[in-house]
Amino acid sequence: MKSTRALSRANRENTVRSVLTRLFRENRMAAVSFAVIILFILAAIFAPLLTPYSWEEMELIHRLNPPSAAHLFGTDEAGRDIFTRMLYGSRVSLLVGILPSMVSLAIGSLLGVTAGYYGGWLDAVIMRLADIVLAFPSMLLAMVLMYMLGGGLFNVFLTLSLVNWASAARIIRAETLQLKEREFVESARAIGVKSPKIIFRHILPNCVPTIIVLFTLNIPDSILTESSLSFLGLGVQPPAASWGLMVNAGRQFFYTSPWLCLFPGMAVMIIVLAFHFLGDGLRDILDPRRRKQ
Amino acid sequence: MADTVLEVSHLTVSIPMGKEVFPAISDVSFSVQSGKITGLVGESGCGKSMTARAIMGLLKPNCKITEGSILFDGKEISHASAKERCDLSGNQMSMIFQEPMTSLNPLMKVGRQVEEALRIHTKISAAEAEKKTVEIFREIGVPDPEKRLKAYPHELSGGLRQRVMIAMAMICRPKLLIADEPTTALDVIVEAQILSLMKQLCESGTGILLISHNPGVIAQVCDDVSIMYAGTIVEQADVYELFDHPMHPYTQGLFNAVHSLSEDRGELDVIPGTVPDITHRPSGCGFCTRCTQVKQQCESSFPVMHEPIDSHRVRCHLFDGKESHEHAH
Repeated sequence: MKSTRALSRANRENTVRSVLTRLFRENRMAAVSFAVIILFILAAIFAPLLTPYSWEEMELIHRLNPPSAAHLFGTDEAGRDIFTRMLYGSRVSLLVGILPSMVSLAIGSLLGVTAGYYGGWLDAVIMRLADIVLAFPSMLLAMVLMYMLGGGLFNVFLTLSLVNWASAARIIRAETLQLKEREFVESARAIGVKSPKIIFRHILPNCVPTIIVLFTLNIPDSILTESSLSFLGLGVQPPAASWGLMVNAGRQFFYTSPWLCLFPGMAVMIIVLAFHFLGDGLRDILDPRRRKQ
Repeated sequence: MADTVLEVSHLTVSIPMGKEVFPAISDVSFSVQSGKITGLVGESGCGKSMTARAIMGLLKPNCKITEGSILFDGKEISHASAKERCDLSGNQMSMIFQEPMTSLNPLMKVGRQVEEALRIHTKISAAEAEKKTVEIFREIGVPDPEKRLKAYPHELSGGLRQRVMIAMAMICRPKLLIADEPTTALDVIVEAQILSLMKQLCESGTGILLISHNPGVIAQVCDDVSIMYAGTIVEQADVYELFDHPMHPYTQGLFNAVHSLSEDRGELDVIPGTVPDITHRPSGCGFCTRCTQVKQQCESSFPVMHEPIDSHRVRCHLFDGKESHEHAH
């Protein structure tokens, strides 16, 4: 009885819908996180509908107002509504968190798996390249790249993608080295499966838990790096808003008007945590071995 | 007379260790006939699996076939290219591994893994591949095949997983199946089932090379047997001849070390000592350090294969000059 239930559970395909149902049924925390992320994304998309204020119009009379019914999260040093600026800033922060993480992970995973699987000179070249990237502090490298490319959102994407691939490549390579010695890879080879197929069918799927964890770790990193770059004047340019930029701008008023930092900071924290929990939950659900019986 | 599917002759595989190169297996010759099971017996580390890997082309990159030939279906394959290998493996020759627990991809449904071999080697639709998989599952005794098809490996028992492995290896009806200790990880009842399954498979025309460290397993199913020790084959005969008249001191010791229910012998006999390390193999006979009948020349000269009785070969100095008259000239 128990085994048939386990079987029918496994028989479900990994469609988006079934993954979501399982997510909600088995892991509340991940489900809530997923809802939070969706909420943030919707808020970013529909920002103009959610607020009567403009994100750049300054009203110096209302400078540094504490949170009130009129200004939910208060106003900043130029009298702009913080809630409004956070809504618009989330567009930058979310994109900067997600897109470059995806790109750098895709690059890193492919290079890592290639290096690990084929070994030899290919491995040496790719890994020395990764060493070079890792040898520089990532912040410094990002700054140099941003300086060379100039500011702007697209260049921030490009920079973050180019900076973060190396550590992913390292980790995926190590994972591949381990996986390619496993017997199921050997038995795949024994039935005549060609190398590219072994990589994409047998090795990469087994790296997915690692990749998801890397992804969730990468997102907060990217959001924070973006905010540092913005602070140094190399990222998104003011008066455009991003959460990191807002935290940095509010620093000097922290003792008198803490809401300037508090709300954007909390937003960063919440989205980062949400991605972590979602990543954990997804990893559990996508890996058939970890499924609860 | 059955066709010879596999003819291994004078195969030598070398491993570099440090600056020197050591032969892991040397001068190994045997053949596998279609519709028959050939056994390869020996203790751990004697080169059984290495031989199997050499045949399948799965040697680690640092191991090299330095001498000898492997004829598969009359074609030399000891230095086949990766592409030729891909065409052969799974299609015409297949291998099943020792550990059914780890030999299946944990993230793929077993049905898809079995179909993979079929989809690679034949142009077949997904529906048809699934039908064939159900067929072979039924044939090798997987209960409820339609359902098992969609199970993940961790949901199956060891015996079932080994059956899945066999299905994977057999789905293209290969001419040669290499089974590397297929029952070592299984309990005795499942072992018996798997062995009778092997027997059944070979009756359908597949030649099987069965590797085992258990003479009991070999005695049950094999037609011909080769005994390996320290990288060489020390004795070779058909199964009845070998078990009735073991000639090599190692074979005799090996059989004495197996527990028998029919006679109560008290303590089991053991062969004193261990297999010599690959870097310290004696220049003479590999067994000379443990042999009870060791002679002077055993330590210095490597024994050649003798054939004291027709088609019963033994590599031992005790049989120097005792060729059967047919081969004496």
